[in-house]
Amino acid sequence: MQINSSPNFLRRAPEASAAAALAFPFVSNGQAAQNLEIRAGIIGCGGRGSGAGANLMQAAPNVKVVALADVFPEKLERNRKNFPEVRDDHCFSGLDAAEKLIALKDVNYVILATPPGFRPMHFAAAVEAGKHVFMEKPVATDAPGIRQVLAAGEKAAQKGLQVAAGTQRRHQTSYIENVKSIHDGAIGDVLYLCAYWNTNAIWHRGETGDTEMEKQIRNWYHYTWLSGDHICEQHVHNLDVCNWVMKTHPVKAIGVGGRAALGSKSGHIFDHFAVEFEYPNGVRLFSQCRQITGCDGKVSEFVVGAKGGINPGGGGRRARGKAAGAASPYVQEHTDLIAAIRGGPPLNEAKNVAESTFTAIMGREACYSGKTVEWDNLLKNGPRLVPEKIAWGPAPKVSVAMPGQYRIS
Amino acid sequence: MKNQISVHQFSRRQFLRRSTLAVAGASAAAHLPSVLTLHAAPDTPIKIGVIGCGGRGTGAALNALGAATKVIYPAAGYHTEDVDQAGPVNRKDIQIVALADVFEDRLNRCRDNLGRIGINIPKELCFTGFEGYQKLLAVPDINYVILATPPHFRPAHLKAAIEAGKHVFMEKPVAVDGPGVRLVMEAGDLAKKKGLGIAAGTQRRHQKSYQEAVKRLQDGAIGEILCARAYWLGGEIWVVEREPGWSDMEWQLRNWNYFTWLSGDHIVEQHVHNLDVVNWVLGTHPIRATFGLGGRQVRTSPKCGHINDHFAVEYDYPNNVKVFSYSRQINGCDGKVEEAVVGAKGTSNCHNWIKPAAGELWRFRDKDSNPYEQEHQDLIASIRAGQPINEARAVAESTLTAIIGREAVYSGKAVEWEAMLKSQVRLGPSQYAFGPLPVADVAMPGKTKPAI
Repeated sequence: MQINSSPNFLRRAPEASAAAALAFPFVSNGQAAQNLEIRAGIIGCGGRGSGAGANLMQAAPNVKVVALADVFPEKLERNRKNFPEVRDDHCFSGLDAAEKLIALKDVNYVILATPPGFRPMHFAAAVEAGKHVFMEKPVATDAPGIRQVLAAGEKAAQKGLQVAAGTQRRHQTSYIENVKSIHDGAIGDVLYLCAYWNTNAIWHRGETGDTEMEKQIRNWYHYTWLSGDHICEQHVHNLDVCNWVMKTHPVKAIGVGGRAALGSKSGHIFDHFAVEFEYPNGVRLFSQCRQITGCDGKVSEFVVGAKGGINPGGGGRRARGKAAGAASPYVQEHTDLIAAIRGGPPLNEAKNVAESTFTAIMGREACYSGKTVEWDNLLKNGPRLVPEKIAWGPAPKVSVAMPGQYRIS
Repeated sequence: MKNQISVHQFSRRQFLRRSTLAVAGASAAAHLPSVLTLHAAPDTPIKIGVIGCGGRGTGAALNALGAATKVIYPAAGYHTEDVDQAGPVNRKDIQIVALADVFEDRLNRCRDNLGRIGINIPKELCFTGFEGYQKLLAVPDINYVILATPPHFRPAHLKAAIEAGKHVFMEKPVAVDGPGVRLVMEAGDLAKKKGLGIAAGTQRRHQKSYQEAVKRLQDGAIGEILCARAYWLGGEIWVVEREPGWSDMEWQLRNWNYFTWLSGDHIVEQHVHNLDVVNWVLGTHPIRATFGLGGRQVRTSPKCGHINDHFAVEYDYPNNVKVFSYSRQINGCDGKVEEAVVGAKGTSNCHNWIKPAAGELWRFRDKDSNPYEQEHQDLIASIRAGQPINEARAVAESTLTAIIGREAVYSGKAVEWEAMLKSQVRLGPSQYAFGPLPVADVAMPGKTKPAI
């Protein structure tokens, strides 16, 4: 463990002893909390990590990005241009970069924005180290990862740490208002829901790297253990809204899907999924996600009740969080997290985002296998996809899932 | 996977136990004027010609006679619906008199089956080749034809049969493309003018349990219906592998399920049943197939032509009703062949239960009919009652429902009902001859253009 200290941090919490800092270093009440300087470390300096850093800077006063970590040095260097004040000894690259950043004593807020396969271990380590956490969605790619996130989320609550997730619709005015109106009975009992993320193909970085592990991490979207596949990586947003509306998660899923247009490109993810989820009360959620260029697009949700239907995103510009006077939800999620840290109502989104992520994982496994997949069974018995030890060298062997042949465990 | 799977088996005894022709005919006649159709009179024998003598054509002929059948869907080789009884069928009122099939061996197999129940079709009433159906339709004695060729040929055969003045039982689906659906609708209208009956092989409409459930749903048992689901999640079906000496055309005809121009793909060929139930319950057809996702993921062998192995379609119906359809033919996956509706005041499987949000669960508890026999009995009874049923439009609409779903999946674009109904894109060769016929490409969403 690398020990760093910061005069700035010590100034903010002069009473904290080193031992106390390890346990509850940034949890305080009253005036001190309201003025607490946010000293953020970004773990994962790709597009989303940089973006989240920029969003954070607009979220509240007295906020600094003080540390950066990425597996790849060039990504780290690129992001340093956005945060030139970050000291050299607060910049880390390599496979242990996250660990080193989390060990920094003067960081009280971490942004977790690596490929999702790494999220559970980073989240658990960050909570262990007493950091408040903003973590990007999805938060895992397999059942053991979800269990780890759920456990770490509970631990965060016990330790008084605040946790927000990058399912930003929960911080978007239009969604908040519409979901509230559904909860207030505006459309009567919910009878069914739809969720869509039908878009063009996303990036494919080819095969660069000296080892299979490097090739996979650089092209992470195309490997299920890293991204969760696009139903998990992207569509989790829409599934999260549906769980929010339903105040629970589905209990089972059936689905069809495949890899139509990706063809022989490296990687093994699907490019389309269609899933029927069933909630405990029998209500169905019809989910579609597709990443194929040239097809019709739609990214939204729709909720139908006995008395009518609502597009919870509100449609049009509001769906993108641009309602008059409303902040960008990508900024608002940090604003809300910081408010919680500074003494506002506690915020811990770990369970919500873990459940939404697992909803996507359950749908993915239903499509991969062609079987009915049940929540409890998958959560308990779902196999680990992420290697126990990440090292340059071999990587998980992957092949395209063949429904009817693919075995979940 | 060479094991054969028996799907359903009905005994002749079961058939005889039911009150059948006489009662159905009498009750229909009771409230109908005594308008006699072309060949109809209560004592007029039904003289059947079978066009398409494969498994289903043979099975349909046996069903019309009320003979017991054994239905087998093997993994390899043709599917069969053979006679499953020892004794002959002696019916004066329903006779099989002529057979037609492109292939002599297929025709002979059907002929042999009929021989086993004492029905002997003379050689001169057996017609082969692409024009065989025309020769059969020219037999004046025939007043009822069973159309059971691959679906591609159905529209032309139906039209010719109606023009020849025959009543028609036709298997589903009834077309593979927009022009074919239009032709079926036109032939259906012509049949009405000519007083001819048309029944379709969407047999759930002739199944008592479905009828009872749908009647209650249409009477408002669960309030306004807002959403429906339709599933045909099944395994792979039979494959006929190419034999030496077969031309492209011969192989495609014999292995017709795997070529969209012949079968319509499995969403049309099989799943049409479930979509038909949804259209029936809702009393209408979709406005568009709004989203379609699917592909050819597992069943990729060239022996399986070029069709997809899975489809998921979201349909928009009038009054903001949405219908979600899932169809799959992949071995080793979970199966589900059914329908469901969600209403403002309850749910149902459209078949044998209705669960109102408030009130008592309804279950169909009577003895169910054998719909494969009932569909013939209903048609025959209606003909004899002088008021022939005409299911051409309903089955044409259900077929088109499946076709727009298929095209939405193939293309990745929304496909409008009206556009497909007006489509000038005809699938298949312009002339039928044994010779070269390239296999179409596998559809690629985002690149394949919808057939409109």
